[in-house]
Amino acid sequence: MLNGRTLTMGIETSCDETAVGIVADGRTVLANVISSQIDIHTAYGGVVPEIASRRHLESINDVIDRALREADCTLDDIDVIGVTYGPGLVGALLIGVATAKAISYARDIPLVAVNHMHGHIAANYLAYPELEPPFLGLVVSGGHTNIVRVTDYNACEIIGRTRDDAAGEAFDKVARVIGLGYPGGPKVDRAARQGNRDAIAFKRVYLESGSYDFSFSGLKTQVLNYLNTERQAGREIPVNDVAASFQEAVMEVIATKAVTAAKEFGDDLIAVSGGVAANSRLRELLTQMGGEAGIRVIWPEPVLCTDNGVMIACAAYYNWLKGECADRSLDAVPGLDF
Amino acid sequence: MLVLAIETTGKNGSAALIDESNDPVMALSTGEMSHLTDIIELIDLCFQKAGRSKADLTHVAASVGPGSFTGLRIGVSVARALGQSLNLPCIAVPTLEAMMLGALDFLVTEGELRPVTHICTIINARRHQTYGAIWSVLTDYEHLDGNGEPGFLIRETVPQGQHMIEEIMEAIAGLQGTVVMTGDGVDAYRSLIADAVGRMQAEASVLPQSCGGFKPMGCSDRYPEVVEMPAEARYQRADAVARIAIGKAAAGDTVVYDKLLPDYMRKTEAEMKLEAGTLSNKIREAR
Repeated sequence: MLNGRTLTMGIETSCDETAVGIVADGRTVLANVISSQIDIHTAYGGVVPEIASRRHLESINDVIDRALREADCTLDDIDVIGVTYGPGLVGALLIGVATAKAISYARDIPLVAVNHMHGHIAANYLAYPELEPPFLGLVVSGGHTNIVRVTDYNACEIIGRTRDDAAGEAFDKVARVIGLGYPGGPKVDRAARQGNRDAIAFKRVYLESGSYDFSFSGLKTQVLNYLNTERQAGREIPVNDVAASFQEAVMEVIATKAVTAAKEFGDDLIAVSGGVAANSRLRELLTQMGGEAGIRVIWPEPVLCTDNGVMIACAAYYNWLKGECADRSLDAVPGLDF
Repeated sequence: MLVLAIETTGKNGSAALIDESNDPVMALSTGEMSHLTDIIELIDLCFQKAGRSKADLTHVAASVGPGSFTGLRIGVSVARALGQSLNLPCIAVPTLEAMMLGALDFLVTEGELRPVTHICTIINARRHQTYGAIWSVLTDYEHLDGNGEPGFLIRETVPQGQHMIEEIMEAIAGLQGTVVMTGDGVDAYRSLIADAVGRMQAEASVLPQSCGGFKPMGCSDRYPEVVEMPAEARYQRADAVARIAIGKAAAGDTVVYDKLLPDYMRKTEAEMKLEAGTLSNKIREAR
């Protein structure tokens, strides 16, 4: 407790960010420290799990210390420790879980296991203090593309999911083949702003009627085929146009399905989160389509969209309020479902 | 002093507590590679068995590798976090050194010291690789203990590092006396070891009668006797880690939690490929 407020620390190491956040009463950010490994993995064209695991171990305790300093508190003031236990890279997850369990044991602080995906949704609770379930959630990140009905804190029902590649994965792959490099999301977004999104007619993949699922692997093949054809014909690749047209084909489908789902389920609010929520075209499309349908679309600021510790702390706080604590046998679950 | 030692580099995880009496209390997991699930419970069991509390602790030690990358990271992470949250110094214990001490303890405590002159500690690193070392054991009559018993001098004959099993066997062929082989590398490379010893035998004229009471992997008169450590004493254990750690604690050989780091003994495959230029080729091909 600090000044009568419950302090929750959130630890996140599921992929390539070593992150620790501290929140007061679940909703007020006191510290948000993120140590990104992106520069290291860029040389490899993507996240290398073994390297990520090694870096997490080297950074985690320092990131915790920095978060405590930023929040101007000590471990004595921490009432709850939350940690991401899945989904993610197993070697990366276990650094956070081992660290959180040891601190919880050493200091007799309750431990709460957090589903990374619930964390992404919780980012919106931090950005919008008045937000409460139920609402429609759209979680789009490097590893996930999901439309969910958020029925309660850390409880949701999956309406749609990707059947193959996640949106972020498709961005990384396309960015690589058109020479933009890693990470694909922001690089394609930037290139697309200089390009014509109607230049190349990539087919939109809506799957069967009424489905809210996604499939992006066919689109990736379309891009590869287009590039081969152009190269064989000796034409120069219009990188910005490819980026813009590909991005449009992804985002149009995501935005259309999210808004259609909100209409069908009677939700007047869509909360977007995950790394791809930072995409400028997705925001434009959702705002436009949502506006036409009378649906409000919200998203957190970019620092809360990418992986971070405060979203984990927020989700942990609500689990803790429900009395859902983990015991000392907590394990990492890399394939954890929503 | 009360030192907690954590060992999660091998198949079965363990924790141990040790104080100046030098008689560790240990909890050993029966689960295989269930380190993350078990480790806190094992630590707690040690406190219960020893009738001590977390508040009594003065140091936190971990077996830092080599070994299973995932396994050793769990132990090191837990040790770092305990050091951080309990404000205690940490101690890095080299895994192969702890295995050597564990083997020596076993050889001495089973009555007389077995006629062993060398301990070969090998951890399976796959594809004929080991993380290994060969230690020469000399009886030290210069420094007798309180009971007038001699101690041991240990020399690192083949230094701790990444060695091919063939290199290890070549080094053994140049030794004299009895070599006891220990660690999960024995299980992984048993037939390769036996083949190497067979070649030694083929070159030798007379076979000796016994192999020091252990299961022989092969003996000869020209080459050293090679025996394998019984399974019950073959693998990494926290009590041996604790015995090295208490010595380091007394000597002030400690680090702050943030400086307690794994000793993988091997770069990641991606780093090796990047350095060799093969990774960038692959990315170029993908383009």
